[in-house]
Amino acid sequence: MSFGREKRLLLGWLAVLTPLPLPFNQVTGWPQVGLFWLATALYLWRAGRGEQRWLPHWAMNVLGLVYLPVLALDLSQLWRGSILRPLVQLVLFALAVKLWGLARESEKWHALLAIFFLFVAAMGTSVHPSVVLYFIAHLALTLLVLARFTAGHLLARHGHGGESTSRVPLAGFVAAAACGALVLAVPLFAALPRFQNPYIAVAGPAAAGGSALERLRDRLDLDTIGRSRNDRSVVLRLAYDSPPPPAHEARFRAAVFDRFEDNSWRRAGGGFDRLRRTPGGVFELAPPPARGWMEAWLQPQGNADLILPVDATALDAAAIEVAVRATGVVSLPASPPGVYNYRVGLAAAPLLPAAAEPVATREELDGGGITPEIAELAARVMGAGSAAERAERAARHLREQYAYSLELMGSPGADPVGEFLFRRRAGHCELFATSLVLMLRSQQIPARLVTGYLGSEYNPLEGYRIVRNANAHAWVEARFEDGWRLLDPTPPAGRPSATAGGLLGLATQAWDYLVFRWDRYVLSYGFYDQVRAFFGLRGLWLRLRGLFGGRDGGARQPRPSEPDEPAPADPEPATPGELPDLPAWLPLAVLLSAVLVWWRLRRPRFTATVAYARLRHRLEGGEAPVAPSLGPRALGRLVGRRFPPAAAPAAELIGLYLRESFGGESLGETELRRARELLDAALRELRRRRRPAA
Amino acid sequence: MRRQTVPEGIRITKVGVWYVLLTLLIALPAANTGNNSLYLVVAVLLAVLAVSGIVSRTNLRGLAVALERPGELYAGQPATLVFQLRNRGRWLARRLLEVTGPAGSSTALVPYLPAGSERRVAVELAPQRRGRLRVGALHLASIYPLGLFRKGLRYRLDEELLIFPEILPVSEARPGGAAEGDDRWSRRVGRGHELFALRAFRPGDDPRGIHWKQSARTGSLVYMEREEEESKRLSVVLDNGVAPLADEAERRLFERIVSRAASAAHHHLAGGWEVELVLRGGGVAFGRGRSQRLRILEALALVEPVAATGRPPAPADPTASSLRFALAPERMAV
Repeated sequence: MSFGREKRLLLGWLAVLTPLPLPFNQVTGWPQVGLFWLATALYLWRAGRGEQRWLPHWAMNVLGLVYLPVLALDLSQLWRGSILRPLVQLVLFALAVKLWGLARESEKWHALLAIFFLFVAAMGTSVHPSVVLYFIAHLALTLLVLARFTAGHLLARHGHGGESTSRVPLAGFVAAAACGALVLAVPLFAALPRFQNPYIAVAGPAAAGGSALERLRDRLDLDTIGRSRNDRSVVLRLAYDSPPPPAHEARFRAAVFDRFEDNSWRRAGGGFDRLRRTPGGVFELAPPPARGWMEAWLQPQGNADLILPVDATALDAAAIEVAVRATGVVSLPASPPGVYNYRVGLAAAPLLPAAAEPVATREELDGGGITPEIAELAARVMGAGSAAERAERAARHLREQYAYSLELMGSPGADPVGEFLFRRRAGHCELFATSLVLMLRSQQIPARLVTGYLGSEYNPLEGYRIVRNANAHAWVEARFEDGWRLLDPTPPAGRPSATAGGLLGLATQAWDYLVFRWDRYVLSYGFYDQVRAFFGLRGLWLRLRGLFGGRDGGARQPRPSEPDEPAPADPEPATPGELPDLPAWLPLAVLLSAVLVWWRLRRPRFTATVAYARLRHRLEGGEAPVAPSLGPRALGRLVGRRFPPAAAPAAELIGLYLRESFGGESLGETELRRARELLDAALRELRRRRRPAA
Repeated sequence: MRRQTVPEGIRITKVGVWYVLLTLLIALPAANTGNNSLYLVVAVLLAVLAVSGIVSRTNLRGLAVALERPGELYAGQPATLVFQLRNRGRWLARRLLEVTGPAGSSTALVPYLPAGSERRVAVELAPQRRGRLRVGALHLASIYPLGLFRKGLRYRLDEELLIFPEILPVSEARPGGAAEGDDRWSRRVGRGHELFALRAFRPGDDPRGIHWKQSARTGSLVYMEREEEESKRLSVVLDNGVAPLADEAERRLFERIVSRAASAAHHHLAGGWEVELVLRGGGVAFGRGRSQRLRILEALALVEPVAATGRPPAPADPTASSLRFALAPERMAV
């Protein structure tokens, strides 16, 4: 059987849609997909015109042979070590050729198989929530294709092969089925057993690091943070278990730099300690106990360092061990592939690493970048006193005498710090922080530059906070006798703003909410989430029971009482099943009643045929065997012979039945009432089980 | 009360097998890698499977079915049964329903049945035997919506159809023993003067018809049947006192003579004759016209072999012509 135009078009459109996410996911390139779309568009054009001549099988075989060297090149040279990309490109090629060579009915399934493979490849490598739109579109189109194929198959089997399947309207079904499948898929997705930790196939920009700031951890230019001020991409999301104090400053450390060379900072070296979990199950970062906890979700950064608040005192992360550098930066054993979730215990104040060495290290007093002008300025500004007082004076001087500006961005010149300190007297946070470090070092106070994030944006849609790249900031840590202390020389007006208002801000937050939900509950959903969901459902059930007065609800929780407090007298014992438990069963009773009413309503309408069927059924189940072939009149005679009292109502009932079933007329209400009376009378007589007269 | 619908099971199609295999094929790497995007695909594949089952179930239910009373049905002759399908649903249309009547009937397709609408569906039927044909149910099946499963549902009807005996051509409707070209078929036994046939005397025969000369010659009573002259009254005598039948061959033979009796009655009634049917334990009195034909055909449709007790069936009117149909060839004299 030749292949119809309608099926060609359906397959063509599905084939066009399928590879859409592949280039975005960097599974294959745009040129390859573009070529595929070109081939498919030409195919659709020809199919729409109803062309009958397509590629013969020998031509398909020749094309397959031609592609073999390309495949070999793909595997051995271009994408060595990656099987997915050559395979996807092979399937794209095979699908295009198959579409052009569709001839027999069975070949449509070959094309669908290739489409399915591409769809799985596209879905399996997608991490962005917008893939849901693709998913829904693909689901609806696939349902339409399958339903049309089914309709076409049946129409052809019953001799309507030439007719279009459009005579079977399917749009409503496709819409309803797609919605139903998506709704059903949610609990199925949540309940499918998880045996492995969530794996996220990172592709695209996330694979190389989340932001410019994070990609440049080993070397920091003086414009790096300034450039990220307009970058709204999310770095970290966090939720406090209990609201932080109003004056709480959310400041997160990301990296520490201690060598200043060629107007750029180099990362601090030094050793690190491996930290293991305490018996409490957390990693203890600092001695003070946690006053509260927050949960954080870190976007993929392309490195293993965790971004922690400056007041972090404990860490609860899914890792066997963590490494703590001398600078206090905490690193995981390996870079997390996707969104990384951890909990942080918070202290009451910023906690910086204590000075391990009594004498400052060479890097902490590195003189790189210090000019005589800077040293002279520092000496003049800092004056006399303790190191801490002098350092604070320098920071205050910068905050009060200098302005925040992004004007120097992109044109640092040969001496950006000198330009900032002595000529423009305005700059961005890196210049402030760098200047302070150099000033402190010129006065023999060990100092280093810290990058991280300051402030967060509250998302009211779910009550969590968002730290964006726009929150990037730089500040200073100076070492005194009692340890390291944080100094922020940037004027408050120049620090990252905390919120984004207006409609655009709300829209951004709504989108972020979706992205966060996607990351949190789809991409990184795992076994422990399933356990949490189970206990959540159990808690919900108990609360519901408690709401309706059940014993397992909130009322079941014993009230703590003082040891010497006399135990309250037991209330009057209630008999099980008495009033206290009654409300708990109320929903169940309502449900059962609804089911009963529904069942009653869906029973077929009473007709003479139904009455006759009941009478017959009663006789079949009784003492008188009734042959299946016995007709209604004969049945009436049988009743007359064996149950004479029931003969008259049965005969009249059978008469009504014959009128209704064979007379081509519908009985009126009066006659139906009569049929019911006759049935009742006949059944009553049958129940009396009078002895057969004959 | 019995349920009006009875599920007839569910059968996976070849497409369905592939679908399930592909779902498993994706489920394995999803479980192995923990890739939630693949889990999402598996969840939706399973959800589509469930939706397909729900839609398939809904598609077959919520219908009202009825059998339109057909015309006359004859054994061995193709006929059309018409069923009425009404979609009782308020919202959902029914699609791609395959409708099958009683055993042996063809299958018809109802492509689309909008909510609240009604449609007549005709299925072909070729009843092989006379008698009652029980149309206990109407069978509906469908692979809608996605062709993954074939689901069936039976709607109880509790209807009966009467299948009349096969009507044979005139040339084949002669009683057993009557040869082709035998003019006894065209001549009728009656009360005229011309000799029609000689046969053995049977109890119930008019003693005035005994051919005494032949009786004296043969030593047994010989009865003389006379040819009908003007009367167009015919007794079709079917001796159904043949029970028990020895085997299937005898059963077929009995069916054959029933068909011949029915054919004889049918053709004579069509020719304007007044015909009676004589059976053991019953029969149809003389009459003519369409209603008489239906009465005789109905009686012959339901006639069953009975034990040969008592007197053999005899015409009510000895003066009327008669055709006698019996199983034993030696008793098929006309």
